[in-house]
Amino acid sequence: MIERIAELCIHRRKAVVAVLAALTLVLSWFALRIEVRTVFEDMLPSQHEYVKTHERFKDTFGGSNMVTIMFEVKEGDIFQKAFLDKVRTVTLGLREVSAVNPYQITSLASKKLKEVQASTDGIATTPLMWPDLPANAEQMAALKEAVLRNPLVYGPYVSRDLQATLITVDFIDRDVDYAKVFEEVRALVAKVDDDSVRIRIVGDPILYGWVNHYVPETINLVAAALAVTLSMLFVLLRTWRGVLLPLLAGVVSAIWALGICHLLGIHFEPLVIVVAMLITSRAVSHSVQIVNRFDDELENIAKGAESARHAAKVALADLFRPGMLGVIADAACMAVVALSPIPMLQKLTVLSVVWVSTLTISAVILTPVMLSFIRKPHGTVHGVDLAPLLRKVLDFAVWMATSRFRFAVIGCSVVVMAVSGWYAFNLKIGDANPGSPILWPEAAYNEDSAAINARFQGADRMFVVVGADGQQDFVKKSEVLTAMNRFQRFLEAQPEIGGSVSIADVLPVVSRTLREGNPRYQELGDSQATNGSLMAVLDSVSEPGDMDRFVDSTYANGAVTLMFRDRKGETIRTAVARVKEFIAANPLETGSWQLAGGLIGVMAAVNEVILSGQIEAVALALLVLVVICTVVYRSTVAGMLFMVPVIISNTLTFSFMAWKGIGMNINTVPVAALGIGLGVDYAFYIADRVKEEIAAGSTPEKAIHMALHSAGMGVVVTASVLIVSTLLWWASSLRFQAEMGLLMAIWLGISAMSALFVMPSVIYVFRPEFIFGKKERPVLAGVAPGLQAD
Amino acid sequence: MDRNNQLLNLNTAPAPAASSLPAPAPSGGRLLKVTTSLVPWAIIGGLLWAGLFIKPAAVGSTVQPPVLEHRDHYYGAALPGDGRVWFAGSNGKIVSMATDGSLSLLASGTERTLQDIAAWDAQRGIAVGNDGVIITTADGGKTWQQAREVPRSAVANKLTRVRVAEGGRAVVVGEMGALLASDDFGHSWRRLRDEEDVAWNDAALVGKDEIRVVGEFGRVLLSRDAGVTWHEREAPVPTSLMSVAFRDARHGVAVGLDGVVLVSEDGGENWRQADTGIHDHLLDIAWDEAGQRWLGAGVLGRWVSAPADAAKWSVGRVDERDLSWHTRVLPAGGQAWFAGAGVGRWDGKRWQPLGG
Repeated sequence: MIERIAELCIHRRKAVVAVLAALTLVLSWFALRIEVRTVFEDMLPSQHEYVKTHERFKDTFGGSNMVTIMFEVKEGDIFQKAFLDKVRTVTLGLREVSAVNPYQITSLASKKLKEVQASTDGIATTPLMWPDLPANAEQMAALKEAVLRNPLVYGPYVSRDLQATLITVDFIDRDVDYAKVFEEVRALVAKVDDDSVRIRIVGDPILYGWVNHYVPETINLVAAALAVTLSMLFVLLRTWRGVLLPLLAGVVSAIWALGICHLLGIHFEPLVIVVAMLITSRAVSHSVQIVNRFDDELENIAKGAESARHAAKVALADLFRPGMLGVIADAACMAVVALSPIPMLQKLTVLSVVWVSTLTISAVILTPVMLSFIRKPHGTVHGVDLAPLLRKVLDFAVWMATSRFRFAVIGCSVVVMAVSGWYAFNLKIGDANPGSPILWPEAAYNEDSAAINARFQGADRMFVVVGADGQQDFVKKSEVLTAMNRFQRFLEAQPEIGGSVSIADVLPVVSRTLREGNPRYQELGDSQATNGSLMAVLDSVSEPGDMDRFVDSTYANGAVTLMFRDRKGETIRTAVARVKEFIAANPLETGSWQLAGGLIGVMAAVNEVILSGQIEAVALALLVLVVICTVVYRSTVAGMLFMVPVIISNTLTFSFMAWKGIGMNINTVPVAALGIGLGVDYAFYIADRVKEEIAAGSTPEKAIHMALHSAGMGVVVTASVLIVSTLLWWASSLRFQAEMGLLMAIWLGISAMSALFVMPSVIYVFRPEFIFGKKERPVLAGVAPGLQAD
Repeated sequence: MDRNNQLLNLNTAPAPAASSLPAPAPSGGRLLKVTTSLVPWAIIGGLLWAGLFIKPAAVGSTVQPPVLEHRDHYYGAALPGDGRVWFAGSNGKIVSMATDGSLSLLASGTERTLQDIAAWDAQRGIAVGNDGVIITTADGGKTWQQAREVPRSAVANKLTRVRVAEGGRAVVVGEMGALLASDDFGHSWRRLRDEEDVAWNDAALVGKDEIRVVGEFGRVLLSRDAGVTWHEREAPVPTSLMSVAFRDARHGVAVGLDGVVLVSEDGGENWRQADTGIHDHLLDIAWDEAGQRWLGAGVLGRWVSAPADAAKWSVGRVDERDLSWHTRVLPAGGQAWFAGAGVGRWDGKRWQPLGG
């Protein structure tokens, strides 16, 4: 069957190439049109309870795309006219930024921050610094005093040391274009930035704006990685085919994948370039294996016109099974990620499954077909021959597998598996460190974030809703307001929560103001009637939208907004657990609490989804792998055997992530899933070659020697080339990409090592039937492996 | 595969027929075979089960709130006399600070906000608060009992201050004309005056029988027979008076809203207004025996102070950036405790807030 396919492909090679070229041309037209952007809503598991709450209330209680701008004064305090003028300019300018929710711009210079005062007519509110700046020293002093005595301003919007003030602005989730917002906000801020002030900006639109900002650099890195890959292949393989065909395989599958995905309406996330690189490295690997096998075959063929065709056919036929198996295993393991309810991961899964599947055409078929066209297959382009060096490594691998050392290898592997498997449980779900894991700790964004969180209550928010649908004035109940207050007290005990705000904070101020400013009345009313009238007073002096942060229009639902100083997985988990603890300990008579909106709310949802799906993803990916191997080799032992390198590479990589504090989050999950399939490719080539050699009548020692010196050579070449080129990513300004590059290098390194050193030992010691045939079966005589000439 | 090699017509030598390794023993072989055929299916089943049914759930830890929370308001403070300081406030919290500075929460048994606290000695104390709550302790604060049958108003029952005197006497003032007295360490209570629509804000107990009371709208009451008969005196201002204190039978000071300070030198019969130059609410006044000075507290971190003659007042803020209000100032050995939106110690120069 396989030979027939090989025969057909080589026989009809012109037609094959013509069809593939035409398809590539058509798909490249679509590929060029693929959209590169981050769509926020794709990151949310829409069926999760928290996300539902978020979607329902985000327009009133605040979305997850909040941007916080901090103005720090360099000398003195913020009460300087020039400084406040800058704050005012930016506050007013923000209304022009695209996708801004104009009702959610809050700063000293907005209408929103105001003071509640008793007056002869009852009660009045006056904006602190709207519409005009303080005109003279007296007004400035009055402003300062007004700020200092207002607990909803002094602390939340003006820092305790009076040296910094905040502007917060919310965006409309569905309209927000991160790149645009980033540019517009930065341009606005640049207008007022000078030596007297330090301006810091954080928020998800800014964070993803930075990612977009680094796309050109990322493209340069891709180019550099490609250049390094190709030049190393050139040096090591010493032929043009060894450079151009892997390049061709990579390019063709990229074009196909991007083209098909554009047709399916899937866009390309800048952050998943890493995944694209990972898949392209598979294309290069497979292609190099085939070129390598072709070269091996050539050595055994006398120089002649037919040699290239024959060698190509043998390479295609021999490597069809391990190549296809590798590709299918990769694709199937990756497909498991689609079970995740996060749309971004589902789309990414489609992209990568399509991409990996195209390797069957671009690498497994196209490469040998192109090889068959080669006229003068013998000879090399340059004289530098590193092969002897590499062969020493391979000899060492052979020695390890066939000497007594093999038992030590297996023993060590078991220990490594056990220890790293145990250590891997330290892997953190969600972000492991403060600041964004996407950027380096010293990146401007993370420094800004740390500075804001140090001076203020916290830039990231979560809202929890308490309400009863359809029950008007529910929030006015004394029981509910008291519960909100207790809830806030309880949650604020967590050090990472800098503060919280709800209507239960505002009503006591109104109450006190109505009682001549007597602080003994700074408390919630005892009855629904009292609270209702306090709320009515507040309502009568509020502008439309002022109360939005606190209650909905019918007072059926109220929000408690919690401010977080960091967004670490641990912080969010603790907060959510404590919210639930509070709710369980303080049941409401009617109505209910609903978790949880805002950025931290949706992050909690994403983390919970990833956590609950994590074992599912790893287990099902392994299962898929075992089943595929079992089916292909018609042996359950095969499934077991190939789990060895996968488990080693995954436990070690997870341990590395745990050790380096790389958390499992929405960005790392796809890389991890791809890594499961990735760990096994090399092992397929080696084991399959051993099987072939045994079937052809070799002794086990000979077969292992052959396999390591042919397929093993391909493994050494591709692994070393790809490890060096993925390590280039360490230079990325995006920490996420740098770490994923490192992770991929480690993955490639470990799977290459386990394929070269562990697998042969395991095969040699355990002698699985699917490789060695039925026990004591006479080995086929008369036919010998092709490479025995040396 | 072999056919492929045949296809290429390669010249190769026949391979050795057997492996150099000895084959496993037959019995071991069977065992191995059974194992190797079972284990894979066990693993496949295990993976399937794990993939479908193991759903780890988030496990978060919890955090215990600190004794002093920043949302707490402490309206009252007392020195039980053994070096401890008691603060009473929001949601019935009573915090005791030991001599070594450690804080502990006393089991007040009520969730009503407490407005004031006082102590006769290290064992016996009393606290009053919202909704007519009066609680007493006889064991140094370990346990508190709520007084029953406290006279109530149908309208409002916030009790704002409690003052104690020797022999278990106590006087409590509050909303709706509440003016209550007890002679048995707070167990039983009786009204000293009928209910009326005025809030009495503070009382000063002088000697055995004299009581001086201040309240809303600048009202001042005097009694010389332990509350049996009352005389109303006119204050020179209509503003609400929040606190009153006497350093002896004759010399007293009352403070109130808008920075009002009234001074009396005849036991409360006549009052004159002293000029402080500020218009911020003043909420408490106390005589500092050790410092021989009057000391008052108010909103926006205000303090007011004057020597014994109460003639010339100096004013300031405990901290330029801490504009919290304080409803209680408690002189203690040259320093003073301030209780309110925050609790702290002030030595005339430096403000040391308690609990961060």
